Amino acid sequence: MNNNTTDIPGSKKQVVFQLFVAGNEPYSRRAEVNLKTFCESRLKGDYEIIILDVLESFTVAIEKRIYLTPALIKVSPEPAVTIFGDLSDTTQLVELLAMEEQT
Amino acid sequence: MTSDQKPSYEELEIRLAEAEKTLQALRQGRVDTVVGEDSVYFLRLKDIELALRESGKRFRMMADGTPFIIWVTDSRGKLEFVNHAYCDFFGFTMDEILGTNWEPLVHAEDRASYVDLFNKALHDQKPFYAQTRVKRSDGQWRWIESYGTPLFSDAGEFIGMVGSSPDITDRKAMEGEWLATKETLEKRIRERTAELEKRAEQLSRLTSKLTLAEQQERRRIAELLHDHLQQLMVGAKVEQELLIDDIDGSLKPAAEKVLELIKQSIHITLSLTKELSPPAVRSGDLADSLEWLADWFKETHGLAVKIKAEYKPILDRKDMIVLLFQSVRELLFNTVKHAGVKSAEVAVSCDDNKLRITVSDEGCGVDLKKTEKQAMEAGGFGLFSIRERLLLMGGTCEADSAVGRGASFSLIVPLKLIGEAAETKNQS
Repeated sequence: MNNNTTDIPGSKKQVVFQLFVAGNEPYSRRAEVNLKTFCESRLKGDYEIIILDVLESFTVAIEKRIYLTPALIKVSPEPAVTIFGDLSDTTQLVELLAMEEQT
Repeated sequence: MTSDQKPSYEELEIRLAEAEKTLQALRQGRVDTVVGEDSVYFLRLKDIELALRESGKRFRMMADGTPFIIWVTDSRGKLEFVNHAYCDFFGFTMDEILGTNWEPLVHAEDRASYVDLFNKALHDQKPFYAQTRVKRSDGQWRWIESYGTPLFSDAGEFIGMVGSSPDITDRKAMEGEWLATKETLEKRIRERTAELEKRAEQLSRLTSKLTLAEQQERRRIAELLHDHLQQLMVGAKVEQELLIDDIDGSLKPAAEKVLELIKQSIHITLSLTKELSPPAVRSGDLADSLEWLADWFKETHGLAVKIKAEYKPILDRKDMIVLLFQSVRELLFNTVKHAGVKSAEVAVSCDDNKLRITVSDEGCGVDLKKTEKQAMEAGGFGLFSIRERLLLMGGTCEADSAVGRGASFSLIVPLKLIGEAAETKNQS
């Protein structure tokens, strides 16, 4: 399933995201929509998004040192990188995926 | 790694970078909560917006109260705020337009240059100015003129542009109309000026013809006097002389008296002929003409006229020498009639490419205004007429006199008006 490559460099492996949201707060909702839209257009289904609501998964957030919501951790491929905000700036996401090659 | 272990230097560095990133995200907004050690703290969007509205209330009220289009962009040039006028003009709601790309609003032909100018200003963080056509909500293309000013935070960080874009379509149309009106007026003025110049030239030519016609008439009368009347009188004189030889006694003194009268008539006719058509005038020699005039005044009116000719032009233009000659004669007549002196002076000089003839006396002087009025009422070839004709032919006349102070009149004519003779000025 990994062979379904995309135009994003270094994304031969499946991309896994953890998105930390806070209930139905507006920026959290927007971050979810923005991330899904981005992944659909750029990763062609070869991704996984795990949504974590800090109101329910509080300890996970603390462990992962998530201090703000919405927050996105790119878990895989390594290294894990965190960004904050509603993800309206897609360049942030592109940079996030390109990170692997640089390291 | 657990929390009771002492963190490594690398670990601290990573945490610091994370903290920085978190702070930055908080500053930029678009976050909902802060996750603390013990609880989740909500940053209510509504509260934030309310706070923002409060702080920006004055600006918004001002912005919405003005009919001018006002906009604010972020540091990337995306619209962050627009006022009511902006929304009304383009026919969008604020929500529809915020964060969008405004470039499609600009007319395709103007887009490249307008966007370039904007991006350059944004990049240089400098003021922005440009004009462009934009499509109004009613579908009409309108001209706007945009002025942008860079915005900086308290920390000096560039945060975007604030600007206004007044609709200048009407002004542009008025400018066009104004230019057209101006052109029409200028054209009319040019036409009128050309017409006036033509008229002035016609008048000048008429004056010249009038002067020449007068002179021709004088010459014709002079010829009549010389060829006919004088011949008749000479005949009468011969007959009378024969008659005297033949008669005797008491009739002789009367016959001799008649002969004397005939001789006087012949003399007067001769002098009248010369006066009417002086030979020197016909030659165009101004100095000679004036000398002749001096002799004539001495002989006929007992006025001693001193001619001071520093400059002795030969005038090519017949009309001009006739006019000058007549004018000097008229001025000397004035001296004879009004000044109460037995001498006068005529000076001819040339300076600044102008011929100047000054007739002066040390007599009782004249009240110029009164004299002019009288001359105008009397008509004829008076002071007024001299000046008028000189003016029409391109010259001027200067008068300087007052009661008890003598009189001085100058006739001034540009050398170019008296023809090729101007070259002779170095001979003087």
